[in-house]
Amino acid sequence: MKVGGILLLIGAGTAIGFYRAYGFRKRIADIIMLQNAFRLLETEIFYTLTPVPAAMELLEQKLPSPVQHFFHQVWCAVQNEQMSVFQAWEQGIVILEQETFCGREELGAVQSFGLSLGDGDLAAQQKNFQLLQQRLQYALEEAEREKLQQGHMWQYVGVCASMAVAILLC
Amino acid sequence: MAGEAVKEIVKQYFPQVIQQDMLRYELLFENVQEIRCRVERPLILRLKQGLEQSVVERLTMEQMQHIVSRISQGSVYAWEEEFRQGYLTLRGGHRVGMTGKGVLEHGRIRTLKQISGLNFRIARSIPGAADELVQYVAAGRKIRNTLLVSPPGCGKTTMLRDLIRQLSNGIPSLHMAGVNVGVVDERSELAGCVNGIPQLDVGCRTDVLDGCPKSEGICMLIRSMGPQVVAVDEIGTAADAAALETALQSGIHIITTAHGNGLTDLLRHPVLCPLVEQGFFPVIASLHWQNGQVALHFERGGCL
Repeated sequence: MKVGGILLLIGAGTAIGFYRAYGFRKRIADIIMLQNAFRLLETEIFYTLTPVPAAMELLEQKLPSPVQHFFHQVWCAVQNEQMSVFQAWEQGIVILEQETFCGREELGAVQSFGLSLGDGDLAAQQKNFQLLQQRLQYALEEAEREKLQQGHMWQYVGVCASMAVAILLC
Repeated sequence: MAGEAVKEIVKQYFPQVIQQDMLRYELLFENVQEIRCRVERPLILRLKQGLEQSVVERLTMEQMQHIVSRISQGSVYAWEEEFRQGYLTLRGGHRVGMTGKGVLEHGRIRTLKQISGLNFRIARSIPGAADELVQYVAAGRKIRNTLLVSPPGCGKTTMLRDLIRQLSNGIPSLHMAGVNVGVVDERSELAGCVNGIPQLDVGCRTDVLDGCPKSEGICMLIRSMGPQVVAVDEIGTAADAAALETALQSGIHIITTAHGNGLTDLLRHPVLCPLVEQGFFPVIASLHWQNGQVALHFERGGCL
């Protein structure tokens, strides 16, 4: 029973450490996913002048979850609940917060982007998209640095800390 | 039905607080021709026969901005050309005219901002509106080039739409089969296309070029769609007339409309006068108000 408890403790600590390390890798993947999604949105807006809700409805089918869920939430809220794009966007950000490993920088970038999405002419939209991609790129570089610095560390911390606790308890 | 369309417009585009006020007048919706919105002034329903009903005492700027946001789907950039021209078309073919502050670039309007007035024109499809006219247009089962002229608000677009529908579907009373009709719908008023799909019935053999300038559209249709009839609304420029002449020389029949009170105005029009005098239009009909109703009068070709 004692051995079982120790193994459980070490397993849990290891899992926590690996999960944290996984979070760093997933954050990078999530930022890349956002970059690709907004590049597609930019193309849809610039080349076919599709309104925001219609563009998001079209792209929703081509995107992976959870960005797909975010796009779906936004266009549904605008279309069916008569919200403004901004209000629907704010609601949709919650999905990204809950379902991705995105950090403050990239979530802030996406939130700010939503403030002026749809307002103004094409030139204004272009600047908005450029700023968003710049901020996402910055967040991506920061995430990669963090992964290099802390990714492996958390794996070892998870295993070692749990083993230390197990020894102490023994 | 127009009543349902107006109700749908109210629910889709107007703020909740105004919706309640407007829905109190739901019984009048069937007769609504226009919904007039002006900032800091009453919201008015314009009904048939010139009657009006004020439904909201004062429309605020915030409420107007809400309406503009809803009609543009929160995407002003997608409607740059429409804002520049001062109108856009909603699902169902209803046209919204707008006024505001013009933003100029090199002396020409680039767009409108600070929208202060909107006019929702309710599109009405009236099957049978062209029953009398089609007898002359397709007399002897041969389609004759037709020019329909009237002042604004007499229903020439409604009549043209029904004429297109009947020619496209065929006319059983004349034992006439349907023909391919090409429509250049520059302002999306004839077919009311949304996402490329006509919202109004223009017939099963009708191809619609939506939002396309008439002069270019006519040439495109001739080159690629093989129409037997080309229909356009409101010709008036030299480019339009040149494109019509090209179509006529290709053996394609033309059905079109123009602004004016009758033949006299057409003969004074620098672009249309040559076409009329050279006999391009065997049928010229005018619409005008008479005893509270729209009456059709044949300036030319009124004999069967």
